[in-house]
Amino acid sequence: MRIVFCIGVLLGLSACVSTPQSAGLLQRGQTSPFLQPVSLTEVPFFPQQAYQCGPAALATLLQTSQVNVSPDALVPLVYLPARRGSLQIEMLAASRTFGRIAYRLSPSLTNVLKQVQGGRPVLVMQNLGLSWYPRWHYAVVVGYDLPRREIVLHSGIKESYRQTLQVFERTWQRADHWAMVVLRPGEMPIDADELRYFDAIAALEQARPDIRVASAYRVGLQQWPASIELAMGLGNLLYRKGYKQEAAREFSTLLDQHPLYAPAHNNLAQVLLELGDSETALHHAQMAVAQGGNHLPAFKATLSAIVLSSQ
Amino acid sequence: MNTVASTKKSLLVLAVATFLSLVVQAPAVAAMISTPQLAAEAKTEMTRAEITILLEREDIAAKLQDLGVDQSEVQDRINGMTDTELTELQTGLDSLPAGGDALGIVLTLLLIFLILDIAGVTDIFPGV
Repeated sequence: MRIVFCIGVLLGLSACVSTPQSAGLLQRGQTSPFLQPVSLTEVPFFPQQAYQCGPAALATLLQTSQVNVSPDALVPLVYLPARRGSLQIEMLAASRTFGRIAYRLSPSLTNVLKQVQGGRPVLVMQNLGLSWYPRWHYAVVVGYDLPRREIVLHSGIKESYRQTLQVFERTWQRADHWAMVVLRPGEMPIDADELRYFDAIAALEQARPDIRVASAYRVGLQQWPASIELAMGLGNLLYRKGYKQEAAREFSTLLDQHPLYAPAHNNLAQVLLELGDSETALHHAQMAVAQGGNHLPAFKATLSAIVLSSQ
Repeated sequence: MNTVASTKKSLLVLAVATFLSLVVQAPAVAAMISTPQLAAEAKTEMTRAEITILLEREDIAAKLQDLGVDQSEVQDRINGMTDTELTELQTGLDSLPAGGDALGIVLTLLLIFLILDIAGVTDIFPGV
């Protein structure tokens, strides 16, 4: 009797554990963009070894992105024996090691479903326990069936495990709505966020300077032509690879749109100096110094180098 | 009397448990990449930043080894990380969540979680 009462109370209480995103998605009925169930049947499944859902989930993502790597091969990269698990940072870092952009999704369930709808599996972290008794777990979203209120996961030792949307949202929100996808340079996440995207490609470029990331900056600039960060990133990349003319053109284009952006003036001045156009270089170095800001010492250094070289 | 007291107690535990589960942590804000890629960062600043990162890397390498990572693998693991991530790892390595699986639950909590699973609050036992 007591147990029945407890269950009753719990069911009552659990109704209070709000799942606003699921509710929003399920309310839309016939107008929902996710009416048609999706199941990414081609996404491989690796049943996890003890505590090693991290390597298994990451291998699923990387293999779908045409990186031929097994869960076992990922263990030395992401598994932390003393913690019996894998850290989120290492999941991101290992993806970059294999030349993939590790993109963290915004904390939106709609956004997760959109990636899956577009054919891309999403790696999520869940807390299957409670906030005071966490059971951290990685799984891969490989489908959904909103008419049945379900999300489909490759999870642990369960292939295509169907979890109700509400349970998924509760366990996912207890892990701070953490979700990631991996992309080849040149691929864009659906409904990407400009700064998240920039962070992700800048991180890949830093981790793997040998990887060709120019296409990643370029597709980003197609979507956000006025992005300062992406244009700077592309300009700096071209400069680093020795394409100075192209780098100068990139910084100039950026300045057409943002005439007062000092770091672009500074970098353009440096490139022009190296290209032998010290007169125009001087103008841009002076513009940078006039604007000032955090990087003023660098701007001044550029300016004095130009003045010195023309003496 | 005893029964009433223990019922109250267990209800209180469950209520507190459920309440705590409601506490949603604020989503982590994506850290803005500064402009370390800028071709001409101030030399002094650059040197300072490089030294910090260098020390951070050594510190994290030692910590990872303490946590059971093979010495030969430490460098590969650190190489993929950004400066922001290194800092985050250095300050929070012990508290950051590590995704494993839901095994190893204390027996006394088993029943609570079974009920919570049925209630759809947790999902420790995916079959239930």
